[in-house]
Amino acid sequence: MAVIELRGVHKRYAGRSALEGVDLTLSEGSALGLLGPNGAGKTTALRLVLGLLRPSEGWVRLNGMDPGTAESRFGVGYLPERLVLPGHMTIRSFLRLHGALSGLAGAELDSDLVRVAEQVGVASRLDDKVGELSKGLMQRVGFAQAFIGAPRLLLLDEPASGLDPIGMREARDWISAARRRGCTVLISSHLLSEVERLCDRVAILHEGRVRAEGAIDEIVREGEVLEDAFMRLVGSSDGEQGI
Amino acid sequence: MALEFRELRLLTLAGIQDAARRRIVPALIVVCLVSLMMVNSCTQCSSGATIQTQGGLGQLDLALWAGVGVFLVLTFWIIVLAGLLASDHLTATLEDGSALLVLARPVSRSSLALSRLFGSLSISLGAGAVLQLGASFFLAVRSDLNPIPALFALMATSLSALSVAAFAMTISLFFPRIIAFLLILGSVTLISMLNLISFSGAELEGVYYVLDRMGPPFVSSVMLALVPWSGQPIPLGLALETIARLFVWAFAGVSSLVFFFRRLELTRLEPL
Repeated sequence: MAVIELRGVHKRYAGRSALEGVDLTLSEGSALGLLGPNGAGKTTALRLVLGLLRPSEGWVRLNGMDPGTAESRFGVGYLPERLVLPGHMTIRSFLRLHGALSGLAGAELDSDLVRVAEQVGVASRLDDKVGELSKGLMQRVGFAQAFIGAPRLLLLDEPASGLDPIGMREARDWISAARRRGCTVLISSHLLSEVERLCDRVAILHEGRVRAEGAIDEIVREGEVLEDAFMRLVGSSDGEQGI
Repeated sequence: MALEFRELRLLTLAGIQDAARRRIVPALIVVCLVSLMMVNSCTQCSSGATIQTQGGLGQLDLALWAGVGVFLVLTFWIIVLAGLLASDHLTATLEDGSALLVLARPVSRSSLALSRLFGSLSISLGAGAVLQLGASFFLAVRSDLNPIPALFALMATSLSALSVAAFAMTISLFFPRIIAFLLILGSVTLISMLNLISFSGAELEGVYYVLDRMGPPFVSSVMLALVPWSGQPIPLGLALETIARLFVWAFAGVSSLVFFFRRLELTRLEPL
C-alpha cells in the first residue's frame, strides 16, 4: 500500500515554479531519500505531503487521504529542517503535548515519553527548559517529538542538522531502529552518505523535477558512487549544493 | 469530535501559557491597576464631592452616569486590547515555524486557530473582567448601584472582544500586524462613535446609518446592558436586534478566521 503518493504535482509561488510534474510513491515499510541541491524543491515536497501547502496542479495522498485532513496525519512523525521549539517549556511538557496531540494519553503517554527521551539521550534532562538547550540537544528533542507515539511514517527534513558526528551516528541508529519495526521513512537531506546508509531508494530532485528515482544501484552506474551519480544528474555549476 | 475537543483543549492551554508570557502582560497589569485607581477616583461621588445645582443631576444620577461612562471607556479599551493581542498571536507561530510541528500532527487547522484565539482572549478578557468587575464593585459600594447590569455589560464586552479578536487574527493572516491593528482600531473607533452619536438621539445617514445599525454593536450593546443605570428606555425590538447582532458578529468573526485559515497556503512557516 502506498503511504505517500504524489502525481503530476506542480507547485508555483508567485510565478516561480518550485515543483514541476513530480511523481513519487512511497510504499509501506520502505525508506526513500529525497536528494537535491538547495532550492530543488525538497522542503516544498515534504510540506505538500503534510498538507501545509496545496499543489498548483496534480494531487497528493497521505495514508490514502487528502493531506489537508487531520485524519491523514495519524501516525506521522515529522522533524522539520529548522526546528523551533517553545523555549519556555520543559522537555517533558513539550513531549507530553506532542504525545497527547498524537493520540496518547495516561500511562501510555508517560511510558512513551520516557522511552523516546531515553532513546535520544535526554531522559536525565526532562525537566530542563527547552530554551536552555544546545543546538545538538534541541535536535535530539526534535527527534524525540518525531518518535513519540511510535509513528508508522517518519518525515525527516535534514535530520542531521545541528548534530555532531556522534549524534549523527546515533540518529542513524534511531532511524534504522524505526525501520526495523516497520516504519516508513522519507528523508530529505544533503548528506548523500546518510541517505545511502538509511534508504533503499532515492529520488534526486533538481530545479523542481525528479531527475532520477529508484533503488540506489539502479541510479548509480558501474564505477560510480552515489555522489558521482548525484553530480551527473544535477550538475555542479551552481556551486550551492552540499554533498 | 472527542479527539478534536481534546486537541483544542491541549492547544488552548498552550496558547494561554504562550499569551501569558508575552512582554505586554506586565505592562497590562500596571495599566489595569492604574485604571482601577482612576475608576476608584471617578466613582467617588460622595456628598462632599458634588455640588447639587437646581435642575441639574442628583447625586444618584451622577453616579449612574459616571458608571455608564466608566463602562463605556473600559469596553472600548478591552475591545481594542483584544484586537491588539490577537493581531499577531496566530501569525507569530507561523512566522517562527513553531506551528509546523503542531500542524504535522493529526490536528485540524481550525483547532490551532481557535486555540490561539482563545489564548489571546484569555488575557484581554481577564483584564476586562478585572476592570469591569472592579468598577462595578466600586460603584456598588460607593453609590449602591445594582451590579447585575455590570455583569451583562461584561458579557456584551466579551462577545464584542471575541468578534474583534477573531477579525484581527483573520486580517493578520494577510497583512502585517501593524496594518491589522490599525484597521481594527479605526473600525472599532468609528463604530463606537457612531453608536454613541446614535444613542444621543442624533440622526445618522447613509453609510454611517448602515454601520451603526448593521455593524457590531460595541457601544450599543453595553448601553443596552446598562439601561437600569442610565434609565434610557430602548424599544424591545431594537434591544433584541442589538443582542442578535452581537452574536451574529461574534459568529461571523470566528467563522471567517476558521474559513480563511483552513484555506491559507502556509508559506510563512520558515524559509523555503
